[in-house]
Amino acid sequence: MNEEQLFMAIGAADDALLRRSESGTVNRKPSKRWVKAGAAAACLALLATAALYLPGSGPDDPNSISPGPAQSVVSQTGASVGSFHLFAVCYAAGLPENAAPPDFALYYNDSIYASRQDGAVFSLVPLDAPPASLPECKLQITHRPGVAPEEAAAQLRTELSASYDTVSDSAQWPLSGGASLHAGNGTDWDAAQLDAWFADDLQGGSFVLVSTYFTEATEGHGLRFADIANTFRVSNAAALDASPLWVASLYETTEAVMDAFFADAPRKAAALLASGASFDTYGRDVRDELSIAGLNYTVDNDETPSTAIVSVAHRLDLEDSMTYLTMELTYQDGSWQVAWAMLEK
Amino acid sequence: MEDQKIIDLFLQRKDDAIDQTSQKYGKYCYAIAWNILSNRQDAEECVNDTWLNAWNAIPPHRPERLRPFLGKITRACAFNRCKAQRAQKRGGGELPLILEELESCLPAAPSAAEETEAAALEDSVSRFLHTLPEQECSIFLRRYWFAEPLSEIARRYGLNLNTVKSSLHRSRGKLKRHLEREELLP
Repeated sequence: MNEEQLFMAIGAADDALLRRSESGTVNRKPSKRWVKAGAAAACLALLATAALYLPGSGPDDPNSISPGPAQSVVSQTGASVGSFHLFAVCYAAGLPENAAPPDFALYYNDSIYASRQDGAVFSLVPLDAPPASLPECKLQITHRPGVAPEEAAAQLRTELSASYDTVSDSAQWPLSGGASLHAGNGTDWDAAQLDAWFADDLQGGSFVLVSTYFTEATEGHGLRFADIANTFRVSNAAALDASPLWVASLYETTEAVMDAFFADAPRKAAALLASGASFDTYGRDVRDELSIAGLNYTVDNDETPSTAIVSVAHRLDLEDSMTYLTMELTYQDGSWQVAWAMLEK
Repeated sequence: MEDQKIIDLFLQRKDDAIDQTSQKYGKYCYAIAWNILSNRQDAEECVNDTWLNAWNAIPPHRPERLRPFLGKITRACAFNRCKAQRAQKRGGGELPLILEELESCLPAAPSAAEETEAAALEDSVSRFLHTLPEQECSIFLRRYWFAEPLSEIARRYGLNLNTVKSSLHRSRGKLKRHLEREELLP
């Protein structure tokens, strides 16, 4: 028997079952979401996985973040998935004293990019920078308190029109949802290009992510910055302590399993795999080729979960299409375990 | 027009049998063909082949309901056309992905000499489908009968995409164990 015979055999399914499948009323409950309007539960969990780190690493450490003036950086946290660094930075600049500062988290590959903090501007720059004669490649993130994403986009559009030949209302690499812009200085291989994305900070303001590169680097740094931007998540540190323990546990488990998966080293996560778990890897360590472009978590019950599905969007070596590492985890006796993990296109 | 009246047109060999069928089920059959072929011209040709096959089948066949009867013809036509195209390395729609997913229900190294009775397999799969919970069965059929994209299935039932993927993964595992128990797999 082959898969084609199986496909044809399925064709003989009962008419009644086919009719039932067309009713479209199997499950009308809204999709489970981590984040509800006005809250930021999903991103809380990202922060909850990492211990608080107080700034103070040496000035020569390229990955250090020095707090800028006026307490612009409240704290930073970090966790690792191989060479990926989970970064969360808390901002307080420009907010009233009693306001809970919004913060964000994202994934970037720290074997390719270094992080910088210049005042209230967070940047990622290539460790192996292109020559200074070329437009700088970097991803910058700034916080605009009290300025909604649409307004921030309109303001930036005006600014860019003065310094770029063309400005359009869609990034070269658009992300799902939200406003974006693209600005360019033509199609020459070394022409400056810019993508901007605007994220709601959940407190009436916005985060602005700006990626700059040159034409030849569109499918290199341009694409990687877009993938990094796609992992960007806003959170609210004030509600961090209120997140249930299973949330932090789920993220810790996911990150440990991801590292083992991409390293092709399931033994590293052996304690986190359920008995009989299937674990389908690439067959080699792919962490150096990896660009993570987003994580999606779904649980069956927000209050007393028993299963969760995690989907990690990623690509290897900047290939065109995305691949998904999909995992099912079960929760029992206060801990999560992986039932299966597989790759899907 | 009611199905029975359309069937009567076929039985009476009336010219407007195809017109009436096309009006009522044209979009339905086109959607099935499109999901498999992802090419407008191929899908339209497939739908036309469906009407011809229906004309040749009725009579003597008298389907109780036209919708599933026509849908099965379209599905088979589209699959055969896709197979031919794959041999020529053209097109494919969702079908290549679907066949890859169904591979997981089969042993890693099937014997090249094995032939499975098509009727026995159909009967076994049909019984398997009746063992699945309603939601899981419907998701399975939308994917592997109707060849719907995963996102469309999620939208249809108001489910998260991950939930659909998880359901299909479970169903494929169950199907594999079912076929093993029925000794249809080595």
